[in-house]
Amino acid sequence: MAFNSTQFVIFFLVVLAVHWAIARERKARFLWLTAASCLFYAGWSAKFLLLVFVSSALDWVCGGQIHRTEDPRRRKAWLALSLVGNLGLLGFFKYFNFFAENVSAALAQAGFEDAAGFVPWHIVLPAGISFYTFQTLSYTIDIYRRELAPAKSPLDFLLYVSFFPQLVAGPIVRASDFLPQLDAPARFDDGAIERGVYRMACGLAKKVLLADMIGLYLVDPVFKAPASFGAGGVVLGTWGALFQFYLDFSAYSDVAIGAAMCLGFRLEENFDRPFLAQSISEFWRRWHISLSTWFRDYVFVPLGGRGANRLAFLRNMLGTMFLTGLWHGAGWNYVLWGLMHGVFTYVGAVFRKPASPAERAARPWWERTLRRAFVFNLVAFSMLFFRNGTVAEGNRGIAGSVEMLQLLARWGPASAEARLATAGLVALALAAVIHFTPARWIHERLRERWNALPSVAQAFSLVALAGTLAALSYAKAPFKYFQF
Amino acid sequence: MDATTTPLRSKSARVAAWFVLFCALALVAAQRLQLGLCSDARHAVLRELVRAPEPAQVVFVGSSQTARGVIPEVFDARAAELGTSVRSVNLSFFGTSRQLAYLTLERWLDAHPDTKCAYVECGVLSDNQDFPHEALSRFETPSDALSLALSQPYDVRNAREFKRRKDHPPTFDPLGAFTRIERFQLHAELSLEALGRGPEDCVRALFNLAVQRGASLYWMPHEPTLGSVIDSQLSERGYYRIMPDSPLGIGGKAGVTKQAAAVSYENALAATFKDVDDFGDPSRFRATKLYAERIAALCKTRGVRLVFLDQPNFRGRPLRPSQVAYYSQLAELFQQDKSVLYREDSFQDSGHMSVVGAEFASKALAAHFVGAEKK
Repeated sequence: MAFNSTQFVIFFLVVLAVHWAIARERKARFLWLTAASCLFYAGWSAKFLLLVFVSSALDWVCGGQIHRTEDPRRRKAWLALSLVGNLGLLGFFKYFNFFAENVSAALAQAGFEDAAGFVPWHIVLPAGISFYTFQTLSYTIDIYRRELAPAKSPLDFLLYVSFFPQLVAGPIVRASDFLPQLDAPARFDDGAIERGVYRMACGLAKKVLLADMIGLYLVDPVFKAPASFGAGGVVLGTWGALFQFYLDFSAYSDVAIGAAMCLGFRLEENFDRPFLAQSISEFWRRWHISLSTWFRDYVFVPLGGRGANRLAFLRNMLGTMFLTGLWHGAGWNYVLWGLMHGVFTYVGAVFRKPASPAERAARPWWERTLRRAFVFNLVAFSMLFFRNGTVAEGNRGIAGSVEMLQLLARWGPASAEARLATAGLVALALAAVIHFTPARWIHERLRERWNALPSVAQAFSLVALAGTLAALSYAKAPFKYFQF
Repeated sequence: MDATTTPLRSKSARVAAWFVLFCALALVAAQRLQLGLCSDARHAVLRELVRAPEPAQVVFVGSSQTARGVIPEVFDARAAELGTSVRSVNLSFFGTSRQLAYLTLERWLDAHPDTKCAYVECGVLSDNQDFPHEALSRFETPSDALSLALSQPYDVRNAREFKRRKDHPPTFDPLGAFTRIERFQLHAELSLEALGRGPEDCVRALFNLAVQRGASLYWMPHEPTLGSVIDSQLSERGYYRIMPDSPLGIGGKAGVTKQAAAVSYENALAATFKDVDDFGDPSRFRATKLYAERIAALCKTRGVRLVFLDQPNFRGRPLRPSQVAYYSQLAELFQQDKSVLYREDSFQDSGHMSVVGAEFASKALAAHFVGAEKK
């Protein structure tokens, strides 16, 4: 069940109403939310709910055993079991096809022609596996590090893993943030629900009115036939792709955070206006925050962080970003995208002194603007690889990226009959204006006005918005991050 | 929970109550004005036909192939020439799948218990097609939509389920549990979609009003009522035909010419199904078969003679051997005479007959019906 569907609106209303009706009964409340989450997930596949249960059971047991024993070897053994189990599941379901395709291609190159194109099974990627696997992993690792006590009951833990607002596409919630919220009594906060509903409405509008418009009318045509639109079209297309991904994914995060807020839970912010970043490392502090902090805490720092020397730093950074790229998709384009960001971040960190927020704010306006434009275009350039994805996803893969690079290199002209649709360009311009306008000018004023509306006006606005978005999103484009 | 603000007395509860009320009002308005039908007036025509009080002894149900391939007035006239007075009605329309055929036939038989014979299309198109948006506009009331979730009468093989099955092939499904769960989920989602469509339909109607400068709530220039559509056709050509001929038909005449060049007349007549004969595959055509069997059971309990009707494509794919065997053991199977039909002027496009073809096919059907009656 997608957030941008009529079904979800009705589903959420029912879940919300029943949830607050039984909120005094802790167990009933958690059972209800878990059942609702399972129903929500079954919209993609009931079968793969088993994987959620298996992953949860594994880490529930491992986490408990690690907590109970003081023997370092046994603690390590339980942690290893959790890592192998979770990463094994993720590796099998997400990377088996990629691995098999590459092995068969290598064998074919080596002279075994029968191996060409041979893939024993075509494994289906279960929705959300990249997200909930990282959640369960962080739970066990945090217990191993003695930074977290285990969940009080299997139900608590299952709710943490399967909580429907974040189950399919994040944000990746840490157990240390979520489990304490389960211990606190449910407190009905009318203001929080009002803010949550507003946030959800904004997210859905962002997705349908901006992200889908940019995708449909600008990005898809350019990435499908870049030669028709020339180098200028490629530049606009990659800007559009970057904005589309940001709007799409941050819209999902908005709905997830808003829905959780309505249910009395707090999820961490996942985006902080990333195109205001003045360096690549700042960009990663503003983009997909729950993922970048996960990789920082569980990969980059354990690898040694900035290390003793520049070479160690480069190794650790490239290793981390390689995995970040691979997390996004099983394809060489994603790996290249990750490595590019690793190099960008490394170069920026080594050759530039890190600046504090105050120092960044104190820079003259033209320097801030130039830096932001530079970072934005660097990230947009990397999008040229990311958006071409893999052939298996229905994209053009490496061939698409190469063609676009060649077009850029010789600044190829557009064909006479190719025209970018106005709707896509207008949506891109609007998205840019909204993004770069200070929050207090638009967002905060709008929210204040929303809060001041009487209930009947709020309800009417929501119905009108729901009808408009449903009518516009007839094709019901799925959220981009579902594929990860 | 905070003692000072209880959920029921909160502003959020009031907003939710107003929201539900507005959605319900929008749904009622959309249903009463048939706004959900604004994309296609034919559904409303069909609905009116089903409700029409005039009795009919023969009913045709199927996709656009039957909608274009059978002219009831020609059928009736030919039957009268052969000595049997009969009135027939064609309830076929574009994209009708087997489950929609079942729904249409069931409603028709509820309203017209004196029906003698039902011709239900089978074949390449009607065995494969189903689109949820076609199905949704057939639901007249919210209770129709709710019944989807509660009774799950329709095992929908729509684009979404097709994708779901493609993504998640049923390789592991102990006791069919996952299929059952996913089927329930699908129906629950469809019913929620139908229940929540009120605001969307109202917005579409407002858009139509704006585009047509206040002239109509509907996307089509005329309202989706029986009278205006049928009357205009009766005055124009003397009989009602649900899919008027159009030079811009699917593929059009160019498709017929191309197909004629590609497949010779002799080869087409001798042709058998060359693709994989997968109709026997249990994981495919499950819903199609289920509803064919339901249609057979429905006709049996209502005392209606059932004939499965194979409508030809122009020199195209014939029924698979397993399809022929399946439908033949379930009920009578009538296959049109391709040796006469496989002429270019009999087809409007490679999948649909022209008026010429439809007149021939309707007469052949009448002869078949009268012959069976006399037996």
